[in-house]
Amino acid sequence: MHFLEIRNLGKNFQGVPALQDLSFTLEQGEVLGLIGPNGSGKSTFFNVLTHLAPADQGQIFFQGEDITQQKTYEIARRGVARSFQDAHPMPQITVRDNLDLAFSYRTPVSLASVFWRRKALHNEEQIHFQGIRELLGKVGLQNKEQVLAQNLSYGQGKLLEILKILARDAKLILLDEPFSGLFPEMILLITKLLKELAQQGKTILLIEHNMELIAELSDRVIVLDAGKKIADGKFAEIRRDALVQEAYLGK
Amino acid sequence: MSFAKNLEIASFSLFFLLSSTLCLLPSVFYLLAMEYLLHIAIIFALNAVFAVSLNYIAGFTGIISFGHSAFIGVGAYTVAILTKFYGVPFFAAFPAAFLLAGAIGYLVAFPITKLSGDSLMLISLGFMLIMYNIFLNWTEVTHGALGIKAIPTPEIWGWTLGTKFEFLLFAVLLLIFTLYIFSRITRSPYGRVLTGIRENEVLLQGVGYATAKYKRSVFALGGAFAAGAGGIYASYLSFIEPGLFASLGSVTVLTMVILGGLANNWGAILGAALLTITPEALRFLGLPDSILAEMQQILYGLMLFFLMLLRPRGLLGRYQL
Repeated sequence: MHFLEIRNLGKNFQGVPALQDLSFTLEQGEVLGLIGPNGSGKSTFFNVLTHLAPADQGQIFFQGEDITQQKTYEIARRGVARSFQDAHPMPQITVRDNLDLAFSYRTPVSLASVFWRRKALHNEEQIHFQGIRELLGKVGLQNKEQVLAQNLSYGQGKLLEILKILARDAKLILLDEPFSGLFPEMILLITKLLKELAQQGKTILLIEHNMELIAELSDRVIVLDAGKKIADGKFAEIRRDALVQEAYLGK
Repeated sequence: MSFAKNLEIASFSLFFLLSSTLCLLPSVFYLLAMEYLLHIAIIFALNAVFAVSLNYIAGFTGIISFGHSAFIGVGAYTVAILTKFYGVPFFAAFPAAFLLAGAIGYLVAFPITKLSGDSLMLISLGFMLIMYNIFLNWTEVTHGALGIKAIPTPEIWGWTLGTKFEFLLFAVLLLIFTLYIFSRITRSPYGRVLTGIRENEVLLQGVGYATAKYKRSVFALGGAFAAGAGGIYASYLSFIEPGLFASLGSVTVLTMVILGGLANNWGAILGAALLTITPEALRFLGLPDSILAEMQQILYGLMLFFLMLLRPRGLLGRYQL
């Protein structure tokens, strides 16, 4: 049983193929880089994997179970966490509340417990808040706890996305260009966080255009072009692949 | 201290002062006020319940619904029909109104909450229109356009709500209870999920929350409280007809919530106060009765227009549409 198995996955948008017959496997603890020119289907693949866009063909198996038709929140509850290309915090709530939602998803509070378990809820809240302060302190955002997420800088917003993934303690992490638009110090910080995740044995799928980072972080790389997989292997091998060079540089 | 905070403190203080004066010093109030002022206070208290319950749906959860007057109507008709035609005591009919509206809200939320934005607003308007037409055309039960008159005065264990002051007491108690319930919910982790739905529902689903379930519960609970106040409304007026629960009612309550400020219960109460008192103030301008109603609507529109230009969050709002 593979940790993640993609079988003949296909997705069309109004007849235009975004993913075509995509198949690969991923083992637990692997860091897989997903690269390709713009419009090659990388983010679409993430959307299909998390059911934000349902697959038109093929199947997705996560830890042996077919999750192709499962809803987004069901897939998330299985331990799949995803970041977005453009940081998507919840803008008009605080950084703390953004993170608390990530901490609390496994033990959602019922309406009745708001009244019958007040003290227990309060204690759980304080534990979450302590965890949130530690996370924020780790990345130097401890002063931003009560700041509305919309008032963060672009880089801080990206950092918040990563922190939400850390808070969820997910098994499979999908990162969509986590480094885009960031200055070098921020890139170093996020790289350090991702390496820590990899060392913890987390399985990571990383979409990125920065080849140095892909080379540094990935165990293996898949290249997409026009929705099709054109290469699959170690970074050093695929960078010499003629098809890959043609996809990036043209004929 | 910010303008909004000052206004919030002022609103709370005024509300507390009015409530305590009205409830603890009836003799003083009778000396000071006429029946008319009591009437305004009752309407304000009920409007405040309508607004706070819609604020829970629209302000905290982001479901901008035009269907709220349908729930008010369900409550009003449930109490009117049960007490007048079946001899059910008010204090059995009152919770029945809560339960029926809650059940309808939960069922209706299935299609409504699959949508968002403009589509959701339109389908909620459709729900309101369906209910209005049921009130109007199911004549065997609702008596249609003729309405239901001589709705019995509420009575509990021999205590009859025979005076305006007693109705006001009951309405204020319901308002305090409504405020307590929704404040407790919205300040809890459950409330954080609701604001998360408002801010970015797709992202919240990606975190692992079954957001549709939360939205159904919100619609049911908000609708139930509106229906409860609708039941008191029917008993107080002793006459109801379908026109009271048409689209204008929904728009008025939504205006209260937006004017006062989304996601702030004191804002909803302030909005209810403004839209209850302002049209009454128009009476003292000596305008002809034939245009009074239209002038009220123009005034509501102007208030909303200028407020959205100058302060899009509303007077005490915590977030912007």
